[in-house]
Amino acid sequence: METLKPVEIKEATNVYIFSNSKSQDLFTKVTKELRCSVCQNQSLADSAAPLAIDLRQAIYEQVNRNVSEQEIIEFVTSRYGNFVLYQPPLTLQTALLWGGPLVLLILGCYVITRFFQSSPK
Amino acid sequence: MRFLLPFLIFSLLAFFLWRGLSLNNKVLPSPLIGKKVPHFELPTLQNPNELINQNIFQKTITVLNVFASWCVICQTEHRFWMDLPKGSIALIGLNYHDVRETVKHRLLQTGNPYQLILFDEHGKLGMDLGVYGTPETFIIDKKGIIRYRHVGAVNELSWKNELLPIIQSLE
Repeated sequence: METLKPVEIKEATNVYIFSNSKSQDLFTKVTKELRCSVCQNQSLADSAAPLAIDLRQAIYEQVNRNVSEQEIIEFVTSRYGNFVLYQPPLTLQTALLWGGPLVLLILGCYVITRFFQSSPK
Repeated sequence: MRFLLPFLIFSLLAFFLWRGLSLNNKVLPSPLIGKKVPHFELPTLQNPNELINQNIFQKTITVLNVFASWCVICQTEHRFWMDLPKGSIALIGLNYHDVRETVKHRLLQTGNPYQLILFDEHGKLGMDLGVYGTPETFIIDKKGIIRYRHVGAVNELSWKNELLPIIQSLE
């Protein structure tokens, strides 16, 4: 697997011009909320990967066409999957992810209570 | 009980850590599996005036290979496609984010295994297909529905064990 040619990285310095601050805020919010599938530890806003540049451009165009936040996010997830979401939706597959911490907390509480109950005074 | 609980917690933790070792998060599942090939209109590599749309993925099972001339792994994979007996599968190329003349020149030198090459200069179809790296290979059934995606180079092993069984199950 390979990412795009590095020559295109110069486009990472693209300047986006917005007609109003509302669309600028939306652009910033959405690109920070979505994860880049190429550089998985970066958001779309941070990544210089060519795919992130393409997606930023697509999001920029949609923001300017007054597409809603939800629709933009759906545009990306319908292509790249829920993987790009830092907050994946609660589904059967992600139930453990969402419920796991709670289960661990309860388990931890139980263990601590047991520990103090059984330890000799 | 005194030993059972810590042991259980340990086993649970060990299980997840062990699972984590074999997870490959470089290969992402495609949300497009089971969906129709998105609408597109792209020229072929050979002829900028010949426009092709999604209807090309009808009637036969098609293998769609996303490649680019700047992609080094694609060149290794190219040899595999060249070695496949001609006409054994419908192989369509999607030339992704590339320069027309460069690819044409390269294919003249190394051979063209594709029946047809779609020229996706700006990566539009690539984005609609959720392509995040090249090479990627899609299996599309007779109704134009995407059935499988392989990320990374296809080689003899992955062809025999992964892709071919799926193609055969669709026949």
